[in-house]
Formats: sequence, C-alpha cells, structure tokens
Amino acid sequence: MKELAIKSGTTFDRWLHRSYFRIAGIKYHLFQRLRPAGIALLGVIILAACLSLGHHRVPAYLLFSFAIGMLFTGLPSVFLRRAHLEAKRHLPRYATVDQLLSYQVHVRHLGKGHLRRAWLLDAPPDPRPSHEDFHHIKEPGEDERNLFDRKFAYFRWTWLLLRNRLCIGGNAPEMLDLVHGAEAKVNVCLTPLRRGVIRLDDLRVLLPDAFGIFQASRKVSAPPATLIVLPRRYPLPPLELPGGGSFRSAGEASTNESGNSGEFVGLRDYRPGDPLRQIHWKSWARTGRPIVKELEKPFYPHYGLVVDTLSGSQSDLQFEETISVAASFAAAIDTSHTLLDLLFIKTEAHRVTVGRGVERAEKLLEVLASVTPQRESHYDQLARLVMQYQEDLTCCLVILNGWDAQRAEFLKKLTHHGIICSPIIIGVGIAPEGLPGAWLQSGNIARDLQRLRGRLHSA
Amino acid sequence: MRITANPHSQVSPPPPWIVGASMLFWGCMTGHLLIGLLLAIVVEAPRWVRVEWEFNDEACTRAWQFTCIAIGLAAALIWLDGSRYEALPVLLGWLPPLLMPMQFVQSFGRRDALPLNTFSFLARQRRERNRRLGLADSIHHIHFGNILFVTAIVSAAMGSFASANPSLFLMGVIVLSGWIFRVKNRGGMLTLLIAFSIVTCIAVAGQMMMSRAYEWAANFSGVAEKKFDPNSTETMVGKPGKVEQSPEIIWRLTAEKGVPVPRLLRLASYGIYENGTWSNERVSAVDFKDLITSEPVKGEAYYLLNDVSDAKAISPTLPRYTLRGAAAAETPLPLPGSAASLRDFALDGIERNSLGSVRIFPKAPVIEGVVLWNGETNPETPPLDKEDLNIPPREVITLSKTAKEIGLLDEPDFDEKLGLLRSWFFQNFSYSRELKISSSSAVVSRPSGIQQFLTKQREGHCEYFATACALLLREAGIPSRYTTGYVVHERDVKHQEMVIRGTHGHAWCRAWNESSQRWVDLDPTPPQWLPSATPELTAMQRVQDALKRLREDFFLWRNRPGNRLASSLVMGLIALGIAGFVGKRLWKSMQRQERLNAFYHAGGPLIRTPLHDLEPQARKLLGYRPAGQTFAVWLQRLGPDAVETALLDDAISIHQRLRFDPAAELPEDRARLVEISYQLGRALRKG
Repeated sequence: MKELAIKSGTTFDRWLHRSYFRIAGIKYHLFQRLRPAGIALLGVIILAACLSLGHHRVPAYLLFSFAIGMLFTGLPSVFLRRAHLEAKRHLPRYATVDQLLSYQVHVRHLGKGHLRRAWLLDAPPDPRPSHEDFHHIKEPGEDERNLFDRKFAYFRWTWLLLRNRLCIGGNAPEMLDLVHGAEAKVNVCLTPLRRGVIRLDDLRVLLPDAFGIFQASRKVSAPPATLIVLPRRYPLPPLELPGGGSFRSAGEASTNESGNSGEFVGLRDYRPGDPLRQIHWKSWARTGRPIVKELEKPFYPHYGLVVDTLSGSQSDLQFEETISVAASFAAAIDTSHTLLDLLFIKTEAHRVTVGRGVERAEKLLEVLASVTPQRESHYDQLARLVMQYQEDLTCCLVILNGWDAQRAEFLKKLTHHGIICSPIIIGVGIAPEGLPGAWLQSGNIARDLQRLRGRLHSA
Repeated sequence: MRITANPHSQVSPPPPWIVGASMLFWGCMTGHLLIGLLLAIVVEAPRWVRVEWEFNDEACTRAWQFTCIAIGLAAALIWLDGSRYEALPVLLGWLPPLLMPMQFVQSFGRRDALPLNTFSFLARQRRERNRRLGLADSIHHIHFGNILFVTAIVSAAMGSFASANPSLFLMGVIVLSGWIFRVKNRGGMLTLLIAFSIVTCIAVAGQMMMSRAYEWAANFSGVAEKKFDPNSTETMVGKPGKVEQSPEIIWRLTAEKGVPVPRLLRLASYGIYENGTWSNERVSAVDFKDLITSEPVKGEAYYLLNDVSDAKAISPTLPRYTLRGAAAAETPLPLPGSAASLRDFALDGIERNSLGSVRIFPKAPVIEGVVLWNGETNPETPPLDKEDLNIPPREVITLSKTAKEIGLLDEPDFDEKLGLLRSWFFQNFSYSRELKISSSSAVVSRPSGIQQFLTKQREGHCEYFATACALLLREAGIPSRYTTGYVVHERDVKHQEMVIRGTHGHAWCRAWNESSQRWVDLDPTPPQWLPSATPELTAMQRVQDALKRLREDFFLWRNRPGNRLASSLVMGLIALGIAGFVGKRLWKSMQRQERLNAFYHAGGPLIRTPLHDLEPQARKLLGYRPAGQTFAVWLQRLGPDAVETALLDDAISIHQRLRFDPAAELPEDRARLVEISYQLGRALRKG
C-alpha cells in the first residue's frame, strides 16, 4: 500500500514537472517572439474589447480593429523573415558575478539580399530544472507554505528556475545592417548571475516586423563558447593579519632573514665563524683581507584561507556571500611576495596553493567559482587538512558560513594546535555575544568589510 | 534625440515628447484640453527643469498606493454621480491624470525604470519573503511612460470628441503609433507607410463590421439601447413569450403627508395602431416645442405644461409631489395626464409634443423637482379624428361585434361607456405575463392578436388591454389614445416615498371627454396584475436599491447650492492638505539630496579635461550622475542613439589618459579631445 502511494506520488510529481517544463518552454518560445510593444498591443486589444462589448462606441471599435490590424500585419513576419548568418564569439576568459560583460561577436551574412533591422541575441542556457532536482530540492521556507502550494510546488519550480539562471541579457544593442557576404563585429552584453562555467550555445538573430510587435528568432551558426564566472568580490580596506603579514594590492616582501644560503646580497669583511665556502677569493686577493659573500634567504609569508563550505540551514545567498568574501581576500593578496593556501571541502578535502613561483591568483578564483555547498558536516576532515600543513602556515584566515557549536569547536581545535586563526563569520542579524572574530552581516557584507579597517584579530 | 539603446527591453523609454503628445491627444479627444496641456507639461518638464529626486522602492510603492487611492476615490465619485453603467468607461477616460503620481516618480526620479512589483501587493510580499529567506529574486522593470502612453490612447477612445469625430481619433492614433514605431524600430519609412495603410484599412473595415454586428445582435436579442421614441412603440401584441421587466428603481415620488399622488404617470401617447405597433404621424423634431416658463417670484421658475393662464398652472392649491431619479438627455419625464407645471428641475432644456409627452435635457445625471398636477386641462392637444378615431381595417369586424356584445354603442354617456368597458374587461379577462397569442402581419387571413384576445384567448398583459380598449372606444365614437408609462403603486414606508420600478411599466388608454374638453385616463387592465408588478425583492435587489438611493441622494445633496460650496471647500482643503504634505516631503527630500550632491561633487574633479564640459548637456538626458558612479561610466549611458559610440569611446579613452596616466600629457591628446567633445556636444544639441 505504501509502495503504491509512493508510486502515485512520483507519477504526480513527474506529471507536474513535465507540465511546468513544457509550459515554461512555451512561455520562453512565445516571449522570444513577442516584443514589449506586442504585450502593450495585447493590453490595448483586451481593453478595447471590454469597452466595445455591449456598447456602440465607434472609437473603441476603431481602436480594437486598429490593434487587431497591427496584430495580423505583424504576425506573418514571425514565419516569413529569415536570415542566414554565421558567427563567432570572442569571449574573455573570465567574468564576474553581477558585473556586466561585454564581448564581441563576429558575424557574417551568408544569405541573399540586404539584412536590415536585425539584432543578435546570445540566449542564456536553459534554466529549467531536471525532474530529479525538482523532486529532491525543496524551496527554502517551503514548509511555511499552504498544502496546495506544497502539493503543486509551483513556487519551488519558479525558485529553481531563478536559481538555475546563469546569466541574463545576451542582447546586442546595435542593429545589424549587412549586405550579402558582409561582416560585422557586434557587441553583446550579458550579466552573469552565478559563479561557475557558462556554456553559450544558442546564438540567435531577432528579426522584428515593421511595427516591432513580433519578431522571428532564427538560430545563428556559431561554435559554442564557455565563460568562467568568478565569484563576486568586495573591496577590502587595508588589513593586517596576525603573524606580520598584510593584505595589500601591491607591495614588498614582508620579512626576510640573512643567512648562509639564498640569494647574493653583497660582500663584507670576514668574521670569525663564517664558513670557509663563503669566502670571496677574488676580493681577498684584490683587497688583501678576507672578504666573504653575504647571502640572504627571503621569507615569504604563507597564509591559509580556510573556507567553510557547509551550508545546512543557511541560505544560498549567505553561502554565496561566504564564497565572495573568500574570493575578495584571495584576489586582494599580493601573491608576488606571499603564498596562499586555499583549504576547503568539496566532497573531499582540497588544498590549492598560489603565490610566488607556484600559481597565479586567478587559479584560486577559478577554484572558488566551482565550490558547491556541502550538506554533511565535515569539520573534522577540514581540521585534519589544516593541521596537516600547520608547519607551513603563518596564519589562517577562516571564513565561516554562520556560527554554531560545531564551528566553534572547529575553531577551538585549530587554535589549540597552535594555529593562528583569524575568523571572519558571515551570519544573519547582529553578532552573537563573545564571538571570536569579525562578524559580517548577511546582506551588508560590503559595509561590514569596510569596518574591518586595521588589524584582524586572532581567535 | 533618440536615446533608446536596447529595443528589446521593456525598460526602454518612449521616444522624447511622445508621452506629452499623447497627453495632448487625450485632452483633445476628451474635451479636457487644458488638463491635457498641464499633464503634457508635467510629463515633459524634466527636459528643461533640472529637478530630480532619488525615489527608492518605498517611494515608488507609496506613489502607487496614492495612485490607487486616487483611482478608488474617482471611481466612487463617478459612481455616486449616477453613471452606474458608464462608471468604468468614465473612469478609464480619466486614467491619465489619475496615473500622474506614478509618472511623476518616473519623470522626476533618477531611475531609468520602475520595478514591476511596485504594482502588486502580492509581488511585494513575495519579495519580502525572498529577502527574509535570502532567496534569489527576479525583478522586472518597466518605464512608466510606456504605460501612460498606452493608457492615454485607450482613454482618448472614451472621449466625447473622439465619439463625435472618429476619423480624427483614428488619425491621431496612427500619428502617435507611427511616431513611436518609427523611432523605436528604426524601420524604413516606406515599409511603415505600407503597413499603416493596411492597418488603417483593417481598422475602418473592422469598425464598420463591428457596428453592423452590434446592430444585428441588438436587433436579434432585443437588447438594443432603446431610446425613447415619441413616434412609435412596438407592443408584444401577437407575439408569444414572457413579459420581462427590470425590478430596478427608476423614479421616486415624495409627497407631503395627506397630499395624494397620481396613480398613472404617462411617458408617451400614440394615436395610430397597426399590427402590434402604435405610432403617430407627427414629425418629432417639429412637434416637440420648448415649454413656456413663468417666474411669478424671482428665483421660482415654473415650466408650464398647459396653455392655460399662469395662475391656474402654478396655483398653490394644486397637489404636488417631488420626483427624483436618474436621467439622460431626451429622457421622457413621467407625468400624470393632468400635470400642470414643473418647478426646481435643473435642466438645460424641456420640450413637450402635441400628444403630451415631455422630454428633458438634464444638467446632471440625477434630477429632482416638483410636479404640480390635477389641473383643469391636459398637456396634450384635442383629438384629431384622422388619428384618434382610426381603426385598422383588419380589426373592424371583430371590434364592431365586440362593441355590440358589450352594449357600448347603446350607451350615450361618456362616463357610463368607460365604466362599462372597464367592468367588461375586469369580469371577462384575466391578466397574464405568459403570452400565448401568436399572429402574423404577413398572413392577413389569420386572426390578429387583438382579434384572438377579444374573442378567444381573453388573457394577456396590459398592452393587450390598452390596445383593445383604445380601439373599442374608437368603435364607440370616443377618440382615444394608447398611453405608456408607470403605475404608482409601491410605497416605501421607511423612506416615506413611492417607488417606481421597471416592473411598474404599464400601458393604458386615454379617452377624450367631449363635454369637459379633457383627456381622461382609462386603465382597463384587471387590478390583479398589480401584485405581479411588485415581486418579492431579492437580497441583491435590496442592496442595489439602497446603493442607488444612496448614490442619487448623495449626488443631489452635493449639488445643492449651499452644499456645493461646502463640499468644494472641504475637497479643496483635503486636496491642498495632501498636496502640501507631499510637497513638503518632496522639498525636504530635495534639500537632503542637494546637500549630498554638494558633498559628492564639491569642487568638481581635481583634474579637468575638455570632456567634463559635456556634463551639463549629458545631464539633460541622463539626469544627475549618481554618487559613486564614474564620469566615464555615466557618460557611456548615452548609448548609440544619442552619440556615435566609437567617438565616445575614443573621447573616454583620451579623457582617462589625461586624468590618470602619470606620463607627461601630449598636446595633441588635449587638442583631439577638444575636437571630439565639440562633435559630441553638437550631436547632443541636435538631438
């Protein structure tokens, strides 16, 4: 009996998903062909029809007929207007969440005749969720909804649609005006909404009718292209970390030490105890007194950026803010004179090092672009990872997604092992009492980061 | 100047001046040209007045709430003003001025577009929920100018000038839509002209078809807007079916205690009968004449209904009652057959024809006045034998037989004849709203409706009785007329008034008394019809009655000379109070903003380039540069329609080099930037 119930529930679920999926597809198809003027025209038709109904009002009849006339004059262009184009996108390697991206598309008109009044549209990827996602992922706050909403899960569907949207826009503001065989470079603008990888594979040319009510939407032959969207970064104030390091956009090495190994610095007189192999024989011969080479071994601070990827009760927005804060620090550090370890859990423990002679800082942003929220607690694993490299680390910047007992325990464990930790905690509302670090209020991250001016405190 | 950059975006603003032009168009079509001009000035003022506010989401929501309240109040006022069926179109006709608070926010705000969730309480709630739960939200934006433009076009269709001059209305719509499509779509002029020619043909043909369809549907279903026709009325004689009448209150009569009220109120009389239709041969335009007025005391004007001396028509001894109800132009006034004069009606005109029908042209949709009646004469002229003794040949034999059967021809006395006829109908006929008699005017061999009624069926509604009675009187040599109107029967005890509903609609006849030289009413319908004239009212009907009463009473109260000034003062004070409150808030907000502007733009940039000279001109299009936005980013918003993009990019590139490059500036850079800035400035000026 129970099995039967589950089965019927699944069938309903599938039917629901299929219906929403198809309706969303039809809606997208229609709205790609119906322009804002068309929506206004439909409004006029409805209003004029209401005013005409049951009354002899000649102006209302005229308005209704006029609007209907426009509708029927414009509609054939959806089926009749065609364009044969080939194009190639020239995309930059990186984009950033919420930052308008403008790139060029090289277009060539292969069709006959003169192509006028046409616009390019690089359609964003399909955001419709799969049945598995629709079935398993619950909308935050769904339990608060009434039975009907929970059963039909329409709000879950809309939330998933929004959540899956990788970017918006993709419109080219410039009109195409090409004769046969002509080429043009067109600027296309889009705004990424989520970090990660965006695959663009649906370049279209929009061909409106004479009034601009409807438009034909024809696919343009273009090789697909991918774009890595980096997390949003916040501007950081000048900060100093415990352990003598500093986060600056550019600067000198923070500390160094002289010794018997490293790079050559200069010559000096021999002092008792200097190793014989450091004697500079040529200078001794020239000056007549023992001269030694002075060597200096530069020391580069090695920081750990520990990112808390556990997102249980926290919202997606808060998780994104956590990643953005981590990305802000990763981008702000001067990696020409420091080393930075990114330590996090994504299914398993990961450590990525960037800095002088190792890897460029963009690598960290790329990695952070692919981090996903983890639903299972993993603090033991993360603590083990940090402690494994504690000898190398000058200090650790710990970015925590919320504050609770297990996070407090994790932080305590790190400090008990002698790791200098500077926690930055992202949370909702005001900071709890006795918080060991900086508190960034979700929704006001940029403001709170600017308040961190000065030295970061260790836990 | 074309500043639209993205033709696919709903945020794209309407072309410059077009919203103002649409306001003027609305003003012309509705006859409110001054208001239209004022609205156009308000809408387009930001082009030459540099006053701006930083309206946030909350301000947009407040403006929308304010707009909704204004629409609600206007709807209530329109409804209270008596235009019940026309309330929605009238409201729609006033929408452009009512939407002004939103347009103000759009025109004088710094936002390019308003969030769409401003217009929906549920959408705002959903946004709050999403914010609380930290969920992603998708907010669409719209430029309100587009909404106002569409609203103005639709509202203009409701205007009186548009109704009178539909071709001008169509021309205006073509010009405005052509303008917007030409600018927004950047299409070829020829293509647009061809497309508009086709659309215009469709519009004209569609309008003609719709008019025909309306007439056909109205005739077919019988729901045509039946205007009062003093020359003809089609009865249901010979047509089977059920008599349906509206229970809606039409008129109300109030008389002082003890003063009688008339039983029958006449709307029209007719003299010629033919196959179920009563008519007269008089030409309405000539037959209706303005009534004579008399003003025995200054300020007390009387409309005299009879051609008798003033003293008799306005005698204080005459019984009188107050008549109140909704009326449109050419509404027939229900008056007793012996009505003498009228007083206190606010009318633009009043006319009476030779058959005694009175029609009015009221100043307002609800009228009230005093009727003096029971005079010595009638409003109508003496009978014409040709009309008032005319019997259709088809009915002659039956009427002759019936008159003999009743003994009508043997009775010499007028009153006796009338009494005989009335009692014959009362005793031998019954009243029914379910009509069973069927006859055809085309098949003369079949008995007519009146023949069947008098000889076989002997059952019918008032039109049968009135028609048969009028024809029998003529058979007996008494000139008579068929009369339609209302029976005054229902008393509203609570409000101390007589109520006339649609169900009280009645037909009877008027007979000429040769000896007294007067027309007298004869109602041959058996009295058992009266209970059916006042059916038990449903709860909904009671509510409707109460609302109608409230609407009419409020309207009359508001328009009384003493109250009009008071209500205008109160409304004016409220409007001034609201305007003062809003104005104060806006003033404070502007002061605050100016302080911020002074703070952010104090002293201007440290390193000036020739491109900075474009700022005042660019500000006319883009508004003030928001705090925190760089000059270059702000300038790039001008878009390809305003200036040449390549030129602007070049200028910005040199501008940035001059400002931020530590290397020594090259003299040709500055000269080149001066040249480009000049070109850009010229493009901006050209528009």
